[in-house]
Amino acid sequence: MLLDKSISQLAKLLRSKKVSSVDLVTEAYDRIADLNPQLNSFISLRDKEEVIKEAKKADEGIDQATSLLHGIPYSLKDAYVNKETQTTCGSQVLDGFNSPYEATVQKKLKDSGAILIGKNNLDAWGHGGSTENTDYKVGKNPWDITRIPGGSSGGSAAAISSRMISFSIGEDTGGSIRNPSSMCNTSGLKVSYGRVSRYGTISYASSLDSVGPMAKSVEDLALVLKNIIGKDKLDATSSNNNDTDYLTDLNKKVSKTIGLPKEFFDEGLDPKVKEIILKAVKKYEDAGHKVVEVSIPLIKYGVSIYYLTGLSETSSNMARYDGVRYGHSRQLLSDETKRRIMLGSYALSAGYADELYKKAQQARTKLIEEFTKAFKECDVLLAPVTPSIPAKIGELINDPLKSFLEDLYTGPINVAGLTSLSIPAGFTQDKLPVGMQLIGKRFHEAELLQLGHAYQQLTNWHLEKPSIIQ
Amino acid sequence: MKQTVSKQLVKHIAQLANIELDDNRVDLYQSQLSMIMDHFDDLKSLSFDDVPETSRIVEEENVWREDDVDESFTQEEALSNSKKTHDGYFMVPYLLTQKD
Amino acid sequence: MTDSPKNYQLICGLEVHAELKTKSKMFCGCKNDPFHAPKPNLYTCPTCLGMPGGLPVPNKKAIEWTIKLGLALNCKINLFSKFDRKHYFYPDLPKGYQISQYDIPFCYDGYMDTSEGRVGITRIHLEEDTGKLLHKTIKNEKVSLVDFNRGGVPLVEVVTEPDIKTAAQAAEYGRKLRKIIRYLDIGNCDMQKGGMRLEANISLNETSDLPEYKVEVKNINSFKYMEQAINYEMKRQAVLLNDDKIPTQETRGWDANKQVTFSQRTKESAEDYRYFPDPDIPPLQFTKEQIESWKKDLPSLPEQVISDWKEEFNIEERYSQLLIDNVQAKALLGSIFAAAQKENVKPNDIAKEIINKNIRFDKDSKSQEVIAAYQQLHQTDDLDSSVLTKTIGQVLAANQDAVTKYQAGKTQVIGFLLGQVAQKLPQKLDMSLVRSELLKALEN
Repeated sequence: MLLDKSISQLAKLLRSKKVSSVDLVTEAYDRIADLNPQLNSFISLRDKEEVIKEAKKADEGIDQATSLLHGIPYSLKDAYVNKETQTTCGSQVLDGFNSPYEATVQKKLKDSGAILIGKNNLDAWGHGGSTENTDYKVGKNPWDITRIPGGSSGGSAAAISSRMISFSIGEDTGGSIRNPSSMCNTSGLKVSYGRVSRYGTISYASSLDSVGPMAKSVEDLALVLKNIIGKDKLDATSSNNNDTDYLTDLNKKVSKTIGLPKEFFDEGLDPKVKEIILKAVKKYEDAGHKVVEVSIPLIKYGVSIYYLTGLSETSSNMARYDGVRYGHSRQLLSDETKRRIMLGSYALSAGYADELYKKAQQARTKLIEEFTKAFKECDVLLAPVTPSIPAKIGELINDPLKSFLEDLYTGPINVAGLTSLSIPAGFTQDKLPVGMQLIGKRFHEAELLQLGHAYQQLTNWHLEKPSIIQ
Repeated sequence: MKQTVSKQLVKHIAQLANIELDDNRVDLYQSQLSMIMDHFDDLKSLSFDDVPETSRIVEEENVWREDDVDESFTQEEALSNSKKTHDGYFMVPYLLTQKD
Repeated sequence: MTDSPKNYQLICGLEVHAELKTKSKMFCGCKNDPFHAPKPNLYTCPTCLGMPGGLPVPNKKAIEWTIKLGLALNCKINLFSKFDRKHYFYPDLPKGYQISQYDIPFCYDGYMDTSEGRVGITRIHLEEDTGKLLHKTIKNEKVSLVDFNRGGVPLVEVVTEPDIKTAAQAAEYGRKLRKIIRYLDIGNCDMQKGGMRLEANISLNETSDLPEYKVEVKNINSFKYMEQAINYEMKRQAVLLNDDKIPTQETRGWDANKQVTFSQRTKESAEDYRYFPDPDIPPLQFTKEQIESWKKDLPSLPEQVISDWKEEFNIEERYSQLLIDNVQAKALLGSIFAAAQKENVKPNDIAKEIINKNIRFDKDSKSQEVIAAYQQLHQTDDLDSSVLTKTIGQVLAANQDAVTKYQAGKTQVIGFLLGQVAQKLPQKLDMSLVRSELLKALEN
């Protein structure tokens, strides 16, 4: 199975002409035809003939290729606009929307020579953590198709996990890359806010949204990240921060102090998950890293701070969908989305904005201070991704508050603009994947990737494949 | 049980958000919104007298552009996704522009 | 019913919107030229069309110009400022919110002096314009057509305190504001093209305190109409108040044909715009030094120039008023007048000829060109003195009774005689020379 190999392995094979891009793309379409009907990972696929033509061209140009992504098949969460297919964002409201322009991240990947296969299923507008709030068939977890793949980038995680494509670009506002990565046994990076341009990303919450790579391993993530970062003059929030070559620093031997925020390990955390995370902590200790306990007291209010911010911003960002210039009637939005828009409008409305939105932004200032303080005692934080194991389909979608509470460990990271890496940490007895988060200071992706890669040299969780694909 | 969010408030918010809610939905939303707002109430116990608000995470200030003209969409591109156009314009029912 | 109408004072504040003439729009690089666009929806992009994924990046020039306007109107400048989102739904507002400024505008607390006193300027802020709506009937159905060429164009909003006391003062303020904006070369303020829009908040009270109500009159596109509308409103509101009724708090329009204001929209409750800081746009931070340097760079304003030119070049105020269009013109004219003065040509005469369009003047004019043109205009041909003497002799001989009249003391007749001489001579004449020769001849 070619798509089981890492991107750098494939890049070698392509350059030695042992494998062609056409081979990779053909395998991608075959696997999608085989598995997608069960998993609903893709909403749209590009025309196969067209893509094969593109792959042929990629093969012809392999010797001049500068990027290791050249000729590699990938997918985009259907929250990024592109010109080759429709962009639905998981909602009927944008069904058939053909964007006349493409997202900056898409443009960069095109320039690197990577080959877009299709657009992945998601919780519409990013609104959800289970890929159930979609108008395009509920997403399934390849490890257990009665369970959710996580969300909102669930389609991307499932596609990577089942080896349909080599990597995907997801989007994380409150856990939407990390959550499905954890639930599908894949690796996902929530970059620091501003690290990757958001131009062409359908906004959920403008001060929280992060564009990031998802793949089978940390090494793959580093490779993709290299190609998508950079200041964009079209995105005023994209950062000027100096970027390193994430790949060359990956194997650097490092010795770090790892902080365990105690509020992330209290009674709210499922003991099965806790056990797996603590085993991972031990692995790091045995490898020579120091482990300390730290505290982020405001995490108690983390869901409120995250949601009052995110919902306010989404109620605003959703105002443009009025059906005039594109799209269908706004009234076709799902209940989940309508509820979020209404909560956000409420939090910003006259008479309530002070005690809701404004208070949340003040708490946000304090929360950032607490993270900064914690980072004085350690280099990175290690934490679970979600408090529970992947839920059964239907469990979360009908319980809005329960769904929100799943974001307890991930949402506050976005609130502070930090970076976080989610990697496989083990399995429950029922062979359900459990991931862990390595959380770093702003613009410290390199540090996280080094530590994550080190873990993946010591363990094999990330190499395991769901039985559905054997 | 008294709901945190009244029916009247639900209708008002729906109007603000340009969302049409029929009566049976109002009840459902009322209980769901109330339950969620009850949780967010936990912030009430915190007091932040002079703490400044952080409404965005950016280190830079004065991010702007020079007054240069860039390429625009063609008229066809601009109109390409609209169902109702006329002579290069987007078209909406007249009543839409007469409401308050 | 009260026995006699009371004396009411006008309590009036103005809100003026002016489009800035930047080359590109406020938050994107689309062309800023809505009025001359050959077709609708030609200058749009993901940002100004409110497409999924579009993001705003502010136009630096528009910000600088807004601050310059504030400095010219004696405003304080907020060193820290930001853009906020103002939410409402309307087909001409593509994002469902307008990027504007809420509580920290670029400029605040300024003033403009008028002939009827000082008008305080509460604030000046920067925002983006909406698209344009056209109403039509197509296939028997009433529809509205939307054009987004104008959507996203930078708009500066100047709000005054309710200091305006008369309708005439309102018009004066408006005209002065337009002059300053044009002078600074930041806007054309062409009211017919929607480049400047006026709104008046009008109420009456027996004292100068703010009453409980105010009536907003909108969509006025000329200073004359504004004056008429305010006067009309004063009468209308006085009638109601005399009858112990409080005028309804509402928005009214001005019907120029019927010469009345009419109700457009009742404001039962204030709109809830749900303002919050736009998270897509980092805040603006200026230094005191920057503001000082902008202040220094500010050209002297029209009033100052008029008095400077009077003092330095003896130019009549009525000429200066007409000539001072904008900063470039002022600079150019200043150098032309100075050069003219050096060559003993009266600057005031040059000013007159430019206004009468006898001399061409545009932004590329050079001092020497203009002076030469002036001299050409007033050039006199060489005249052989013997020819002149002969002609004068002929005229006097043919007009003995005029000569007699002159010698009898009726000196006005000299004009007639000058005319006769001029008729006989085809050249351009230096009339002062002819006059002196004629007088000499008459004395003899």
